[in-house]
Amino acid sequence: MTVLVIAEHKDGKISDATLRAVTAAGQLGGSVTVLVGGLDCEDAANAAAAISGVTQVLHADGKSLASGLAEPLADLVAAMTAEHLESRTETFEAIVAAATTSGKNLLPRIAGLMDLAMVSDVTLIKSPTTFVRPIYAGNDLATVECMEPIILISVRPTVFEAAVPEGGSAEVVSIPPPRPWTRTRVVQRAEQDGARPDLGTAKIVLAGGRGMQTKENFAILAHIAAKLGAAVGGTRAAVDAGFLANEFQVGQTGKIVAPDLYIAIGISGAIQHLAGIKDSKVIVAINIDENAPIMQAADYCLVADASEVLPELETALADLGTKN
Amino acid sequence: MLTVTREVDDGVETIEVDLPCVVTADLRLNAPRFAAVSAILKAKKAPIEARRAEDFGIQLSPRMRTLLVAEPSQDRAGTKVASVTELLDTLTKTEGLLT
Repeated sequence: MTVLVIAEHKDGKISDATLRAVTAAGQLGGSVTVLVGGLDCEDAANAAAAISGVTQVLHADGKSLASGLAEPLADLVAAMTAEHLESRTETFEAIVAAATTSGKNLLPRIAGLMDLAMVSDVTLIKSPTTFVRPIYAGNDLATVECMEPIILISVRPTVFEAAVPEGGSAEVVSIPPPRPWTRTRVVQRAEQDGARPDLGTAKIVLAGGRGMQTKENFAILAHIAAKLGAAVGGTRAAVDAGFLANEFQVGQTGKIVAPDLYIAIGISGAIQHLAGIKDSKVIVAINIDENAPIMQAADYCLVADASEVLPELETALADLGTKN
Repeated sequence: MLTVTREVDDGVETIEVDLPCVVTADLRLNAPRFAAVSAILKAKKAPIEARRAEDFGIQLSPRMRTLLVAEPSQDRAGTKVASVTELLDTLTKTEGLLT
């Protein structure tokens, strides 16, 4: 069996989410091929070849892939697989991508083009055709069997370990890029402040909810986070209240996180939020209401008001810093 | 042509799309319009035309099977701590975090 992993990369590096997708692909059994598409992305292709567990890298380089849009890449994967099927040479029996915004943008397009059903947001691989995935905002876990000739899955990166990015020596094969795509064009990209660690990969995440009450409290939270090297997140309520920008929303409709330590301050714990944090190693809940649902989902609970706790936390952590 | 802004993993991007196109909307895009009662009543009388999937050449036989649906385990201790000091103490000493 050959499994194709579609890589995400930036500045010549393979993303952490893709390394996790490689691990998931390995669990399907068989050999793992990684597709790296882009413009002048040779460094990324070589980086992919160095990932342990990868046997082959397909490197597609061209202007049609420069924008990073999903459409031409989906065209490429669909065409490649169709060609393989037609020539009856060894085809990919499974196609895997991380369930990130780009993976969620890409895989359904491939599924549509190839008329295949896909399994999204897989959290456990039981067999090469049987998968577990959350449904109803994580309220339930469904075990599904996919009966398609080619298995198409997006995997939730937080539940799979990252593959070791070195030690491998896969061959890199150049393949032609897809034809130009003009129906969608990128006008502008605004990246978030790079100084803060990424929510998806940070070891510590500090998050606030409606109970934070003010934007000023979020400023204190950001200050504490900077000291800890932590990422800042929030609930939908906090985003709706204008306390922080959309891309910092944690939960079912926002980012799914699984840090070593998740501290939820002034968060009641709506199921949609809990769905996005449940794989965190240690969850701490600080909330004024001791009956809030978050208290049942946490390892440690502190019943306290966010506005009072924040300055205390700031001072205590500063002390901790000087002690170490 | 349509110009839309969407969230991506590391920020936001604005793209132009030729029409026709399919758009999905984020929860925060806008406030939903609620239908007036009169419109709802009117809609009840609207004719509904049924068509067969086969007429469109669409195969509806299942390609996936649900084998099991189960509740996820929620086994966290929920240990109460009394103060910020005790919390940080526990996190550093018991969990080996923040060090």
